[in-house]
Amino acid sequence: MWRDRLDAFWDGRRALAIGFFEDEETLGTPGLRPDLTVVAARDAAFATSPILVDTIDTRRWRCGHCVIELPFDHAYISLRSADGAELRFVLMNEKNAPIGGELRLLLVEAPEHAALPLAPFRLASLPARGDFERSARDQIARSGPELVWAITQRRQIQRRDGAAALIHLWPAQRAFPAHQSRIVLEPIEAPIGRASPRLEAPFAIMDNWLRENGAPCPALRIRIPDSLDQSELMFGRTAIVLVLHQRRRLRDWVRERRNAGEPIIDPLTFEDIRLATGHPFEQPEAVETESAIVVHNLSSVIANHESVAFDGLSVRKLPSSSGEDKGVVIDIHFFGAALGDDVGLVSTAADAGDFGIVPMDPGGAPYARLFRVEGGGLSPRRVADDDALLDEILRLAADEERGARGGKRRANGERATSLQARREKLLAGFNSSLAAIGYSGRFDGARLWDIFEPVLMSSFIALTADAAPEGRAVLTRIGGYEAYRLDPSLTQAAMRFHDFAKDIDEASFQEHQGHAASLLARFAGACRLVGMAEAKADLPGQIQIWRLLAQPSLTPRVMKAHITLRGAEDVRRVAHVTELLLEEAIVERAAIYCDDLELEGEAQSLRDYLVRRRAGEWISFEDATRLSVIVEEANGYWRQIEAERSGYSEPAPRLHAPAPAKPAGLMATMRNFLLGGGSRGARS
Amino acid sequence: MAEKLTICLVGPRGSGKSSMLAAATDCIVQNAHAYSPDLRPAMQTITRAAFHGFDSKLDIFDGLTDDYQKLRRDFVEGCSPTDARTHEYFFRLTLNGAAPRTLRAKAPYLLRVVDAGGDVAIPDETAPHDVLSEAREDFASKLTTAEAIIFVLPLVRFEDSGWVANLARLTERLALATDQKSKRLVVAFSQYERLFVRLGPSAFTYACDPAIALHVLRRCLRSAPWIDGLRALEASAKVDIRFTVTSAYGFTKTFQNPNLDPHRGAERRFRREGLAGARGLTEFWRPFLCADPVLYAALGLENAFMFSHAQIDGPAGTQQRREFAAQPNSLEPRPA
Repeated sequence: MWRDRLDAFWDGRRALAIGFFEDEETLGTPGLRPDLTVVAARDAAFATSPILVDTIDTRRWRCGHCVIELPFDHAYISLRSADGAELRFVLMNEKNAPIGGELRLLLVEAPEHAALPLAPFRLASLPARGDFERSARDQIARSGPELVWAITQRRQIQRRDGAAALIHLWPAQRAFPAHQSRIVLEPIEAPIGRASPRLEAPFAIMDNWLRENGAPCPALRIRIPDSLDQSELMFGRTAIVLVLHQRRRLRDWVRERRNAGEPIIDPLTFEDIRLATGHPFEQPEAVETESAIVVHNLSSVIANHESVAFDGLSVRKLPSSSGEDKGVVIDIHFFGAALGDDVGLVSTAADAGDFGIVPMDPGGAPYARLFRVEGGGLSPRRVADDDALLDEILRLAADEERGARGGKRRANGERATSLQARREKLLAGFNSSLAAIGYSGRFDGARLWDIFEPVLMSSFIALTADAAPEGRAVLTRIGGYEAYRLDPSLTQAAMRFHDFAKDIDEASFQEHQGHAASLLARFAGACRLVGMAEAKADLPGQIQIWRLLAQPSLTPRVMKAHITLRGAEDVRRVAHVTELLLEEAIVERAAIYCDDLELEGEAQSLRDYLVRRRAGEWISFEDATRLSVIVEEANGYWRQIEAERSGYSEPAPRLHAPAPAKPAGLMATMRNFLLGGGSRGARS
Repeated sequence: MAEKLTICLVGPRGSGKSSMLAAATDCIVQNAHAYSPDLRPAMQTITRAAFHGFDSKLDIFDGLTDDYQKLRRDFVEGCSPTDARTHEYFFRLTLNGAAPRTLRAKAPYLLRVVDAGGDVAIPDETAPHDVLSEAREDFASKLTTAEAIIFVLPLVRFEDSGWVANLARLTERLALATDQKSKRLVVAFSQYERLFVRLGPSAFTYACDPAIALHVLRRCLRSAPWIDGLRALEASAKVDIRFTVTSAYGFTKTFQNPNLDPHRGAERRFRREGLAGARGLTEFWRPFLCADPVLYAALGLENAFMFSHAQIDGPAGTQQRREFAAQPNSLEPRPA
């Protein structure tokens, strides 16, 4: 039974990874993978805003798993198969996880050989009681040196009729590696204006000072996507750095002067300033310590930014932009930094890709990202691994780290190499697969991984392998793997229904991806088919229309005839109506027929339809049905005429009396119907 | 008729005499002096003939190629201390704004600034020197006949300097010279910006505070026995003596830290990459009070950064400076 074999992993936000993964019980036993319709709603009864999320057929199940984009705030998910079986999920708040249930552990291992098409996924199940987290760690430890990634999913299953019926899911967690933080640094504009412009200078040089309104304060915005507890290990080994180069130069200058027997200087200190001004608590906006390099442990700064004053910098933690965000955003203002100084972050535990600078990362040593204060603002520097300054900074950072933690420094180099090597091996396998299927894009090894990244990459390969050339062309247009990461459901729809996606591009994809709207609405919007598929169709309508879209020969004709699909249930009926209205010449001929019969209203309706169609407007299926009756009637008449002309004398019953008398029969019925009077005439 | 003045620059080798003079006109142009903004002085170079009154024809472009412009170009390129020759530069000083009537009446002022290059006047005892005796005698003659003298001394530990003894000897001899004609003497302590390296972006803020300058002067003169010679000179020859601070490199515009680029090895100013010559320096360069010693020497006009012996000696000096600084447009000379 598919309901018992299907696994689902929820990232706590809007991604749901579902699949048939092998565990010890199911290893080597292929099971049924039915076509599924995925629906989401805001309530358990699926009465509030139910929308179509995705449809998964045999082709999507080729690799055994896929990732679905869920609408925001829809916590109830239903997977329905064609035979009526249904499996529901409830997405639970992390805070109210009860005792019990089950922990599913998905392990991703690097393949032995890079040429293997897909990464091996392995599943393990653990009871979620007792020290289940330790059990998970034991499982991970037993996985060996090829383990690249591991996710745990907490769930509780309710069964009905001998099969799983309702599964509660709590947000999945990354279990391996222990931390994977990408700290993104971005220079920002910092406010100036510490002096009042209304003051008058008593002497000219001070007028300069007043006009400048204070020195600009270099500032960095640091974004940390993981939650604080996930990144705690990383933060504990990351330091904010301020390198005061004029002080370093002065230190060297003093040494040179001493060696040359030349007199040196006594720079002013904070104490001198206080003495000179007569203010014992005067606090210059500068670094008070005499050191030329200042480091502050990032973890300490984040924890104490509201209660502690840090020498040379101030910190402001920004509120997260939405309730979904687990990450942290902090602004660091380096008020002690001057022109020519360096500011940034260093870490004794950073791995490649852990630090990044936007908009353009200069690269360099993976455990440091520094900026120079220049005339135009903060400018990223590329720091080489063998930079002597970096050695000095890292020593100070390590001392600061020991002071903050009292812990022992690990052999970070070994750890970094091992994890990085495994990930690179996995990526090499994935990229080989992309090359083998003739796709030119490649997965980026330096990027931060989302929790479902390996599943995304694996399913992307399968999707691309299965796509027609036109589908790949659509994929390239909308942004390739980046688009898939943003909205896997929309991407696969655009690739599959590429005939409708001729007008889709990266801009229209970006505009409609990830919204709360149904898959149908997002697809129609991105492909600029809004007229064909009404955005506000109810759930049955969405499903029906989506099924109609899957008819490869029908929908292009529907598009040509500009008929919306809302209310259309029967594929054959849709095909029939569409066929009748497909050719404009036929519709025009039907209008002439109505003119001959002095059926002005009918003729005008047909002509109005043509005008609207040429203007790009769409008509409802109900109206299309009415017009199709007229056209069918007219076609019968014209066939009769042609038959007579060709000498074929079989009389076809004339359905209507010749002009000027108004005909009875079907046309009369339809006319009356169109006029809103309902059927008054006998059918012929 | 314009008043003519000779001003001698005296100082040890590498003290920054030529740099201070090279930056003086830029200080006036950028309003980087400590006089009232209303004073609006202007200082242009003139020819020797114009100084002596022989050149009646005004050559508009004459100032572009004279010795002073060469001095300024050398300063931009960061040349080594002036050679052991005496250089003379000529200026016309005008007061275009509000100034005391007595000063306005004598304007414009024609200045001859004598820069004794190298260690003519105050040689370093620890270094070999080969200054010709003729050069020294010539300068000595100019020194005693000059209307004003500017001592330019670097702000370093005097006790470690090799020229302090010669400085003391010079001040004593000036005090004893019977034919001393100078009316004013300014001791300008140069390279002021170096002291503010630890203050980063708040350096300029405190540099603009006269209380800080007074503190610096008191600190460095505390152990300066040569100052006794100046006291004697003031008493005996009725010479007005003032102490001040200057910086040819100054403090960077906008960023306000000392204008010392730490990434260029030898002492250089910050500059915009890719721009050659003076244009590359303009973005950041703002000299500090380099015109003030010249203006005081020429006019006897004080400002908040000019300190007398009494102010340096006494605790009341701090309060007096603050009172002075708090009064805008204060152009009248203050009592010592």
